[in-house]
Amino acid sequence: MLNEIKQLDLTDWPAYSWEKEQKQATLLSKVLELDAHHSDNCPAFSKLKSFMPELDVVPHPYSQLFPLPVRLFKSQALKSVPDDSVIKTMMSSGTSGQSVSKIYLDKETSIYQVKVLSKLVRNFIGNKRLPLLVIDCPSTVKNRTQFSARTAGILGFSMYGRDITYALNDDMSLNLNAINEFIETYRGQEKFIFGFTYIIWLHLVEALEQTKQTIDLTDSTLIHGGGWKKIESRQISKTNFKSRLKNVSKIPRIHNYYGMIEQTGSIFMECEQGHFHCSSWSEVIMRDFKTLQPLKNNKVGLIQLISALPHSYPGHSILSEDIGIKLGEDDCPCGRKGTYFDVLGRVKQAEVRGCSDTYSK
Amino acid sequence: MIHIPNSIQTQCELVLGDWTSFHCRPETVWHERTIDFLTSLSTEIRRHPEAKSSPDLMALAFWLRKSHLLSMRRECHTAELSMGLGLTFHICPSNVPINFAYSLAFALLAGNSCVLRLSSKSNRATEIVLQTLTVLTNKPENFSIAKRILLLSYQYNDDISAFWFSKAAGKVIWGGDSTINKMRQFPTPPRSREVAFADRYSFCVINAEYVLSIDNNQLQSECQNIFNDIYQLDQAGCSSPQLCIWVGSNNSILQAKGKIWQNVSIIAAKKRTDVNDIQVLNKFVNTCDAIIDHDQVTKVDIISPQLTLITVDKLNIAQHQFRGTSGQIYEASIQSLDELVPLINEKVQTLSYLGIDKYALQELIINNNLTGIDRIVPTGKALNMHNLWDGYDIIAGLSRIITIE
Repeated sequence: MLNEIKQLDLTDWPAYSWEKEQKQATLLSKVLELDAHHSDNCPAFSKLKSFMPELDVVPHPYSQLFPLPVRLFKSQALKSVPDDSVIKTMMSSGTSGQSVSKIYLDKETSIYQVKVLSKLVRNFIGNKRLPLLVIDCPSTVKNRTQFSARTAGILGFSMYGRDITYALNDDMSLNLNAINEFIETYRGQEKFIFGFTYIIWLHLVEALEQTKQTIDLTDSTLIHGGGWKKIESRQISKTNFKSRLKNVSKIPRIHNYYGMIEQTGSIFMECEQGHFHCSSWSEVIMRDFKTLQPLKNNKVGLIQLISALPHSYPGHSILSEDIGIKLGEDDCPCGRKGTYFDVLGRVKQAEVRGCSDTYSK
Repeated sequence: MIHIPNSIQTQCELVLGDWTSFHCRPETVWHERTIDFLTSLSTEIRRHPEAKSSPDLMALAFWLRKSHLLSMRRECHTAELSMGLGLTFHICPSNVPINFAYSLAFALLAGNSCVLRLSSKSNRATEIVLQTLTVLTNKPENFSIAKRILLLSYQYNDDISAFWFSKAAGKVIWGGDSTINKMRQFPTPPRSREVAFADRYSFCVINAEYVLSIDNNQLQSECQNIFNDIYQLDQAGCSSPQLCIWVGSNNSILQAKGKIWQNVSIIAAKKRTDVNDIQVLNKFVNTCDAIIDHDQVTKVDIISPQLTLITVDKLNIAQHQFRGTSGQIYEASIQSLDELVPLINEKVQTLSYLGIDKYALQELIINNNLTGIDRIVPTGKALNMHNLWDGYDIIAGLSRIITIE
């Protein structure tokens, strides 16, 4: 049976139904194949593999995969395909003077990203294309000269919706007319809402709270991501975010996602229990801050992220600067299989790193 | 007296000093009153309850002791009569914030009045020195010294810098190369002097045979010295060693490295339990970048959270670009000291040595007409701040000699 699975195209993998043994065997064989490909085709990566000592004192199933520090996508041009295969270069945000991540995408990688993201999102909003409300301004996608992660995110998620309405004006003020028209038009129908966490907070939740207004978005599912860094100073907890968003909007289903531009597609969706989930295409390993050794469940460490998608650049095993805790595997009450975890923040004083923006206050 | 326009006063945060009583009349160098003031600063810092837990503070207090100041005076060339220049303006360093205190001490000892722009980066040790200085300058016996000190803090502001440079008989600039170039654009009086501490590079040279010849007690104390050089400033100082060069046969080097690093990592594990998560991560990232960017890396050893060693095959000038922090050391092996020559240019500041004849190093500079290496010191003394620093006699640079025949 495992052999049959290996024959499956990775975009045909089920999102969350494989149990540990099956998933590990399939994912591991795919990422080791990727690892060999990157070693052969990315000289920088191959140098790292040959000179970096084996990290793990006690071998771990994913020990053969070097945890590539995410900052290297800023300092290095990491690419595993010829230049003429690169169809798009994604850039992470660079707030004033900081260097940006450069992610080189070929056709194969970008198709995988779209297909896998689609499988993950559909697991939460269903297979039908739903009317979509984007909590952002229309100029974010019109201004293609600045193809930021925010633009990419909106365009990416737009594919799972139809009849797109933008909830904000270009000056980032709330466009209540547009929102109410959207609500009226699709009253009683399932709706999909997408936006970046900080924009939803600053320009929807706080804007509505300030004017003491509410909107009625019952029958909808909201997916948001892009990180909490920009609203860090406001110290909003996950539950606080949800409850105050629900208070002003009546949105019943709110799902955060965790992911990085370096692993677009294989994102980690937040389930109904409030935990981030690995899918068949991804895995996380928490590593000790000091020794960088893999940690057992319920220990806080640096998050290493494994993804089966990156073919054009060596992003299949990345050491993030985020802090997380692995909660369990295959036994989340939400019913999805796979590792589930929480993200607790970022390493203190880490080089300030944006996730999603060209807009800043 | 000096007229300080209101616009300048309002834009600066006055950390210490008094706008109206500040004056810039020079005094003689090594004035007793100045020495006494610095000595009492030393005493007060040592009395501070947190002093013992701060290597920075202990080093400063030790340095400001009367006996040390006097020994430094003896080692310096002294003309019959030397006087300060008047007003000195200091741009203080951010990589080692505590160095503002040394900058102040040198300029005071040279008989000057001092205006210091403090770095916006501060730490606990710096705060304690500032508190102590505040208490001391408020005592009547120190009023005359207090009138020679203005400690300022301001966001980079060309108007303020331009004002102070235009009045500066001496300027002291600590900074990266770009800071120095920027600060040089401000006009100063024609006879203004400059002491500028640019970005420098430092390394150590160890004789492997010597390491193998010493007994365990001696080995322990040598390792303690190497530990101090690397970890006291977490390699953030210009004199902190970045590279360790081993001299000897391959076999003796292999053994000597083992002995030294094993002991240094044990000391570091004990004394640097406070290594931050971000320091460990930064070292890991930096090591990855080095492997990719450096053409000559042959081996990487992550010994502990405190110590990473990167072995390189050949030495050349490009090595200067590769810097570590918090215990990230590059290593190379050579058979004879002549092999150091390609590594040395004007960027090299401190060469610390262990088991090497210092006169052989001196010969190396002379025979090869080297433009670099300003300090040759035994390991353990790499960070010892001295009036003779960075190739300068700082106090002579900030004072004038009066010849009397």
